[in-house]
Amino acid sequence: MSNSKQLDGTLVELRAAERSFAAAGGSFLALRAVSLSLRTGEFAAVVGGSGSGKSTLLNLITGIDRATAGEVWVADTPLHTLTEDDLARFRARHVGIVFQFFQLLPSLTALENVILPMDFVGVLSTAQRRDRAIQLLEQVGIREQANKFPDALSGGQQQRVAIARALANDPPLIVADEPTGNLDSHTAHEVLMLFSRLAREGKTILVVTHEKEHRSLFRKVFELADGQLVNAETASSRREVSACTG
Amino acid sequence: MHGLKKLVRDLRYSPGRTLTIVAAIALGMVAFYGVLGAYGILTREIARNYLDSAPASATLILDRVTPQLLDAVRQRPEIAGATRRANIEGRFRTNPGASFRRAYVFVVDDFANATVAKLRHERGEAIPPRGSVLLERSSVDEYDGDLGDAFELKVPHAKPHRVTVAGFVHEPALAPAKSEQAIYTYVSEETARDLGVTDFDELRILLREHQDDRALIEQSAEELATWITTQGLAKVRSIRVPPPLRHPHQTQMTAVLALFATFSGVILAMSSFLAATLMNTLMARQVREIGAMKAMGARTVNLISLYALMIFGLSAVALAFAWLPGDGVTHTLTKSVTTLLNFDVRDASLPHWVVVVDISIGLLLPLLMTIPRIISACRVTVREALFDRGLAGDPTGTGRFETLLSKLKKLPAVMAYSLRGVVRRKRQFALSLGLFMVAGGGFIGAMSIAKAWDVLLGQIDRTRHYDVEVHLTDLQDAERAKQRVSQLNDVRATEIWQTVPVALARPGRPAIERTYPDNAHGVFHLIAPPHEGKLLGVECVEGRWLLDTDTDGVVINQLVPGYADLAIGDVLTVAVAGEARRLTVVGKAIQIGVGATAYVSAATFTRLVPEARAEGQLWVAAASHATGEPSDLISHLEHGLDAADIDVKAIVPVSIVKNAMAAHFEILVKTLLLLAGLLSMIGALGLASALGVSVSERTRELGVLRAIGASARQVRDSVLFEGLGVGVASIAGAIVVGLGLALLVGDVVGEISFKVPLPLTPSLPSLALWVCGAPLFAALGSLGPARQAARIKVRDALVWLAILLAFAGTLSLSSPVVAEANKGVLTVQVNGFEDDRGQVVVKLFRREDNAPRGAGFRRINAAIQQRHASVSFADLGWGTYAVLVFHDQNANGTLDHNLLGLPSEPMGFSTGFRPSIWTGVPDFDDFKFDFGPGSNAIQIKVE
Repeated sequence: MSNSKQLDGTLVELRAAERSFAAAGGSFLALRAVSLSLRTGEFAAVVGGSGSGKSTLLNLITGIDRATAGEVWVADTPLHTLTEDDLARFRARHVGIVFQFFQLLPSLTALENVILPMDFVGVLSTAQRRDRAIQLLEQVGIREQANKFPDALSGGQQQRVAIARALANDPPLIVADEPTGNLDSHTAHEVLMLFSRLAREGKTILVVTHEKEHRSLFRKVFELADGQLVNAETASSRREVSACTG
Repeated sequence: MHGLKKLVRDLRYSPGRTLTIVAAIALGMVAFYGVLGAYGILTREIARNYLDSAPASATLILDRVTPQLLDAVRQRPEIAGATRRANIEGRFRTNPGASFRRAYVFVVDDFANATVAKLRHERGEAIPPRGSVLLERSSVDEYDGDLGDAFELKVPHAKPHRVTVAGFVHEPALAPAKSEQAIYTYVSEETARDLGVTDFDELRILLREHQDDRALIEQSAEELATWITTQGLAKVRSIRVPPPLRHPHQTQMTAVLALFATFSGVILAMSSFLAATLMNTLMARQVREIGAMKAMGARTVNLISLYALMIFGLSAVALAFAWLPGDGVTHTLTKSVTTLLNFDVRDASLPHWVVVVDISIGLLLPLLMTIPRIISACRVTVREALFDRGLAGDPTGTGRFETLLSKLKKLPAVMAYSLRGVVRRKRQFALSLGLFMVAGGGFIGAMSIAKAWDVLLGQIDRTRHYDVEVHLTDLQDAERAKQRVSQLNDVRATEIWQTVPVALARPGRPAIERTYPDNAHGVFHLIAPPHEGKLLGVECVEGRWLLDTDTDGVVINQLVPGYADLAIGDVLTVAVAGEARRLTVVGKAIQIGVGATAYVSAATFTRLVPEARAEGQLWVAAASHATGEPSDLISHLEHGLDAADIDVKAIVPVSIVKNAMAAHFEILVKTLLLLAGLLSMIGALGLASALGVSVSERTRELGVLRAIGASARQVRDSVLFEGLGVGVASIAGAIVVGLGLALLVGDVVGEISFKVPLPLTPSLPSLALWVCGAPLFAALGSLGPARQAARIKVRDALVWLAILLAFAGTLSLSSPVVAEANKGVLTVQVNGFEDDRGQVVVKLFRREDNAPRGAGFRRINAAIQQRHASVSFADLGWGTYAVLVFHDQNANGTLDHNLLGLPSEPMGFSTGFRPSIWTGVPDFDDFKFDFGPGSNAIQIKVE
């Protein structure tokens, strides 16, 4: 990503990114020439049916996977050129990931789960890490659950811990894969509102979801089908359509 | 047939685990086979060697054994054979200028046709011509002579006489010449006469019957002695009946080998347990395939047989691998022991019973340990099997240890994660820890026993303040010898100690000595120190040391027969030269390196012992004490006494005792160390496998770690840290096991060696070494799994997770796409609440989730509204599940229990199952249900 892009606020940019996999019947193209961009502070969603390439797209943006063609730039970093360890370091500092099934480590308390990413980076002192983790748990509304193990938390609480963990190293980008898929509708709404608040505070949030009822919350929606980006709408375009049809 | 093919391919698919299983069993087998083989061969061969020599049932010491007496004895019906011998403690030197050294001279009546105490001819002449000797084969360690070589041989009261070596023989009942620092010579009656030995004084008899019955042997020997006396054929000085049919070292050797065999049995059991644990993980991965085979028509019994055959096959392969190294251990141990004890292995083949035990244990033990898991895995239904997820789900590990760790505020989360990882699989953790503890215990134990042995032997230096014993031929020469020796420059002090062999007296019956024919093993002496003797310190554990004023007081050491039962003030009656003498016990002592000894004052000794039977020893302390053999002092003593024309039987350095004992002990320590080494290897294997399984189970978690920023090195270090955790955790246990082992083995070894347990003496270097070694072994064991963990890629880990959640077999590993078919939402409606306080906890279990105690596969905590709650498990694959709900009234996340351990909060189970005292704690089958299309809601009532 060029400096000009950085300056204009672009945080994520995919340029004709592709990802193919070897399959029994030959090569399988999971993502086809996808180009998109996200600016700092945007709250965006990726939608699409099963097998549309949502998870693959997220994997490329988070550096969990690498594009087989095209380019993936996040926070001025060409992810497609990094090694596995460089990608790990990159994720630690620049990307917070929230998983559908929370993926909290069951043997660590909520507080320790949040401290863990800070341990990997090692910038803050032990006491500072603890203070920040408590502050983050406070921010997501579960300060009093800090010393409980994930097992003793409800699904919504676990997802909040997962979000606090994603924020641990203060990354500019938060990526969430079906973060509400395992929650009841009330809790799901609360979680999405939390993301929305984080976006207002300057985080760039990218969420994979298949729940259409929350679509109005997102500033941008990327729709995938068969690995292709078939639609990219913004809140303003939605409003225009709504006004026209309304 | 194809089922077997499948299993073989499965094993080849996981070569690492297959090799580990085989290696684990094989290592245990090497130890077990090696030691058991040695035990079988040695116990058989020592008995065979000894019995082949037709050892005498009893020996009568007479004033003279004439040919007529011998013939008369041979005519007696109870006598199977008889021979006469003389056994003289003499000396030899290779040339006139050299120093004399110890030589036992055995005068043999009949070399050719002996029926008792037979010698096994090895080379050269079988019958030594006049002027020559046969050497016992172990003598070459002390005298490097061969056939035709000549040396000077001297017996007491006679001039040295030159003899040649005519041949070599083997007498298995004798200790190796090296340990006695003497040579054993056998001469004919003519040569003996030339040397100055005039008479045979030993009558050795072999009974026709009851050769293994000590009481009957004693009775027969007594009757024979009475008959000889009443017939006026000779005077009987003493009767000797050693333990019947048992080599002097047989009991000790058997006890030590039995100890080793037990230890190696424990090693095999632990290695088999490790193999069984590995097999369990293999079986966990097989469940789905079992379902497939069942779907194709396989019956449970077919599958159990198939998997049992697989274990059997793996054990057989391990057996094949272990056989040769095990044979090597057997051979090495056997060779060491036979060399130490001077006997031959004439048949090196394993006894049949050993082969049967080896094969049976080797093949059956792993199977026995695995069969419960095989049976449970093969009994699953097709449906359950097809939905099986393989290894168990995430163990939460939220026990006391984990809670404790969470209180350590300064502990980095990464380290907390590693430490909790150590204990999350408690059985595997216990196994790894147990293996390491026993390995370390074996090492520390072996080293501590060695140290205890040294400490005990140290008593020899601590209490014996002299360097050389001069055994005088005539007690009358003692004073003159003392004066002569005192004039030598390198002599600091000399004392005359008097001694006489004795036996426990039996009221109204002749005394019977337990002495073996070598005149050494089993001997019991009465010893008198000189007035104010200082060269021997006797440490009394009860009572006191002798006073000059004692008239019948005696101090006994622990080897004196009946020591444990004798209290201070009790009467000890000993037979001295055939006469019963009463002594009062005034002190009890523990002595090392000394045979059974009773100490009396010089005055008492003079009163009790006829002068002709008393023997004099001159104890000499060197001016400068050295730890080795004081060869210069011995040479000076030799020349000094020779110049004064004082005849000596032998000059014996004190160091001889320590040397002999050190040699006896070396094998014990080496074998223990070998077994500890094998255990350490099994321990490292155990840890490697446990961590390997742990890493496999945590693929998803490790993937998450990588996803949130952990580098490969950080993941690797985290697993290494877990291994180190096991190593460090094992240290305290290893010390406890080691000291326990030292105590146990020290008891056995000390008892059979000294009749006193070895002191518990922790070996600090071994403790220090294990403190460093345990983490090192643990780190070595963890390297493989750590590297495996570091190689996990985030995408693969997360795809793996997705596949687990997907319907069995519908996706291939290479596909990143997760099908969402065959899944649904399970709704659980709960009612029956008394109020709305707290929350409801709904736990969903699969078969492998240890229902109802485990954390469950998934769990939802929800609020209760109007005494009703409803929760949904989204994205749940079709399958068989069980649900437990409880009203978490205090919202602490756990089901509380009362003092009796019974749940104190209302609970309910799917299918309406209600536990009672008759049903006990339910298992999965008690409240399982099928979840699939059309069956997506259940209702549960808490009560």
